[in-house]
Amino acid sequence: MRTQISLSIESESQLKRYKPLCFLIAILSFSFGLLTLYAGKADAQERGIKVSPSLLELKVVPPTTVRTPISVENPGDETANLTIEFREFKSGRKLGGEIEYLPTNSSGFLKNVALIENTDPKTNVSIGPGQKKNFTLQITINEKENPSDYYFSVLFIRSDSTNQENESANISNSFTYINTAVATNVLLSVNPSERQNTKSLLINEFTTKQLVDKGPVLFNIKLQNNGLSYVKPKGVIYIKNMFGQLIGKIDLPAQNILAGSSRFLGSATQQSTPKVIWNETFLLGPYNATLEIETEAGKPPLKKSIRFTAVPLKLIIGVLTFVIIALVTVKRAKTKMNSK
Amino acid sequence: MKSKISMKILNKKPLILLIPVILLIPLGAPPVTSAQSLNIQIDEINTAPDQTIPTPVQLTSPPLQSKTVEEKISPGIQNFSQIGMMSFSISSNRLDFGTLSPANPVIRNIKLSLISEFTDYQILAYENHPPRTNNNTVIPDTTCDNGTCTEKSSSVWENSLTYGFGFRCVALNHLFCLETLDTNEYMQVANLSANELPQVLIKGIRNKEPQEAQIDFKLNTAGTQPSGTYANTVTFIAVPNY
Repeated sequence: MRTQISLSIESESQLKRYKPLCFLIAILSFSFGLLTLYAGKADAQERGIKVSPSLLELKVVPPTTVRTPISVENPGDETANLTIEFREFKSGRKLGGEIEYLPTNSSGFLKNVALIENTDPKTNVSIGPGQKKNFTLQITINEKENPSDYYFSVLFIRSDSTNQENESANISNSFTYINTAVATNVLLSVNPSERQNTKSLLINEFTTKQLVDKGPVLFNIKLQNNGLSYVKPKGVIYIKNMFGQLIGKIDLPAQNILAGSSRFLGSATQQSTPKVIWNETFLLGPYNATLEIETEAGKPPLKKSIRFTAVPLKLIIGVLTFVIIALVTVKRAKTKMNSK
Repeated sequence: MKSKISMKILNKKPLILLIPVILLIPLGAPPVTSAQSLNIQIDEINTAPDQTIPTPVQLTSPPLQSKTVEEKISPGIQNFSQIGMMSFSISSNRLDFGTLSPANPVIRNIKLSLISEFTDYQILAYENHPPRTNNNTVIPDTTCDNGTCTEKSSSVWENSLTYGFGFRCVALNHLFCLETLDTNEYMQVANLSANELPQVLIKGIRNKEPQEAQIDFKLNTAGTQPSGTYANTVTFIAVPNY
């Protein structure tokens, strides 16, 4: 009993001795928790921009003024400060519909382009949390404007971080600030009918593997537009079997081909060029695929045919193995029955 | 006795006969393709409803659509069409590398999220300048361990004595990072102040669901690097294909 009392007295005195230390630890933990919470909140705010439409296709005859709406939305919970820029582009080198930006205003056409809010051209705008603003993209094409194609992006750059970079000098930490931007691409053709030649579109490539063991079959289709205006041709692949029966029809996606450039039709994949896919799994024998591209209403389409053969090797090996084993088994059984 | 033996053989036959059946099994299974290629297949085949040709079972991606306005909106406009919506967001707009200490690499990351309903797209990136102080002391862009990485190609950077600023892309779903596919592979950020054009970092396929990628930024300084507050701004541009 004595020992118990002496122990409790000792622990009480120890508690008193460590009380300030415990208090200090508690305060430090609380402060650290608050700081972490604050820092977490500062960095966890998701910032975004929503722009519609993402692609504008225009064919015009001068003189004219194009006015078309572009809406920009700020889905976040902080005001978005946007800088508006226009940049010209050309077809990217991978020929899959990607763009490659040119040095700033290389053709000088961008002076005719403005983004209007109400009646004022804007280069900087603020959009409140959850707010959607409608702007007007105005393109003025004078009578003397060169018949040509102009390809440019309207860039909405969320630039609030750039300002913070200048303010960070008073903090001891180092930072990288992140801006986001969304582009609306504009394809503008001035006086296209004067410049488009029906013979300007060519089938540059229409290939597939000559020997396949099963589907899907991947087609490489590369079209070349030698004209001076962008085109959006319609195309179909007809697939016939060894008896000449039509067993497959693939409508190609309508995709733009910029003036003086080539493009692989289809959708992009990670490492390879875009491909058009015939989603048929069981294939047997020789096939004939014909690509038809419409150039202009009333004119004969461009055509190219290729052949490929499907040999389902796994199926053939499987069937052969089955037949051989069955024959051997029957023969053995017969031999044994006879030897009885 | 003979009949017993033949019965034993016959009992083993079903096992032997199963071999070709096992060989045939893969033929009955659906084609082995990645989720990404499945999406592509569906996108490209727009079989007319009156066709008797087999159509894809699952529609996960919307077909390419455009709203074409045939009527002349104003004199001189022959043809006008507009396509789709694009939404792009980031998880954070600030990466805090803390107080830098030499040969002690710091890695911070953000997530990019994108929805592009009707067009394939790419994400470009550039920095306004490499991290620098107000006195214009710069931490240069990394050249990685073997000194070969640029804003166009990636390379391994795991040596803590390799200094500089760089980033890497990690695809989370439906996005394709064009470079930096392996762990510890980094590349430079295209430097606008050195007249470098924005680099293509990611390409993606149109989808109504958000597509995500993670971007890891790495910063490492040499002992000779003056201490101070270094900062820069990296811009990611979501650009639809034409």
